[in-house]
Amino acid sequence: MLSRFQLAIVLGVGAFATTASSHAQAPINSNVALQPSTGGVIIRQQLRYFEAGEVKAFVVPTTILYGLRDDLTLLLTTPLVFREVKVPTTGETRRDSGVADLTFLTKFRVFRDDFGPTDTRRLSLLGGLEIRSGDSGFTSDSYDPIFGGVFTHAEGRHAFDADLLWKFNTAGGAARADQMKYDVAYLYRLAPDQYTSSKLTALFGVLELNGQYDMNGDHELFVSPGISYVTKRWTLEGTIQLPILQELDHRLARDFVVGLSFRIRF
Amino acid sequence: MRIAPASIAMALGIALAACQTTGPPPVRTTGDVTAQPSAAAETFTAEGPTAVLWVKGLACPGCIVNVERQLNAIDGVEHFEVDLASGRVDIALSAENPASRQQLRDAIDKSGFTLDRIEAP
Repeated sequence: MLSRFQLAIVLGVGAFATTASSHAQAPINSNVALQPSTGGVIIRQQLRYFEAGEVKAFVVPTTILYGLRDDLTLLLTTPLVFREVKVPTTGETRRDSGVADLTFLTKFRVFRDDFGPTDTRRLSLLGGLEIRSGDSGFTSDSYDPIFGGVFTHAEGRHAFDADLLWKFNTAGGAARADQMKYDVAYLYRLAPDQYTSSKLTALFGVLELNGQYDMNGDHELFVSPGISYVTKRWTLEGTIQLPILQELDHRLARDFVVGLSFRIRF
Repeated sequence: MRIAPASIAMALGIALAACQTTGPPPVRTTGDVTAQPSAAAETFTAEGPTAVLWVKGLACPGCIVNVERQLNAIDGVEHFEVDLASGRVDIALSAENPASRQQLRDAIDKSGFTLDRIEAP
């Protein structure tokens, strides 16, 4: 049986907690309906650090996207976990590392309305599988289907994203209930106020709400301000996630999450 | 339930800061894309035949990579320049084997954006 510490890793910071958001103008912790072109590749490397009471952990998810068609993208996320826990009874500190469950997703665009040179609204469906890594202590040891959708609206300096994802936990047990992840995000282009042919970089302020409701009653909601610097080829971004609601009986409550991310487009 | 007032205050602060950013009002980019000014048109040079594509939906600098990938795959395209603000793509075509309208149309299609119109020989 998994300890509460292990559950914090498996349920809280596994691949489901990462996102399919790997385009350029995209929120940091939420999904986006934008996609690479046919044959396009995007690699995203994240570094996330969180503390949850006696637990400290670095999670390092790597996401690779491939544009199978302009409206169909394949995504694979592999999260490495480095964790440290202080055992309260003995004062001993335990450290270990491993590979959490992998996520394979497909993103299929079902609606596109490009209504201006830099303006678009799109809706995409997401479907895939969380795949057991087999790494004892880091895996849910199951294959869990994921379904959902994401909507993006970008107009002028503003962008809005909203997503809803559902993960069916197939392993059973009260602590391993189905999960619903929901996010809303707002991006504001701080600079430049207007693109020109010589200004092909942009700085975005990002504000997100990232929630997860488990069918066993656990509910967690973070507010996540962030900053994103976008060039033609790469994006660098940082965020801090702060809890505004935590009703958790089956996994540890994270005090905060700090995230850094780098995306490169080919 | 655990609620952190500091979290809410920080979020509101950032939202307000974003709203108070000064500078000229944003240019409306909806409507007729050909009405937008284009710096690309002033700097773009080509010795042979040229084409101009007007593309919609290029939401950010990273979107240009999508267009580049598809246009670079066409033999009949020598070089090109994308103006993000106007959605104008100036293309220098090969003199011997210029890309056809259909090839250019397909390239924008595969890049995932909407082609408004083509100005080509």
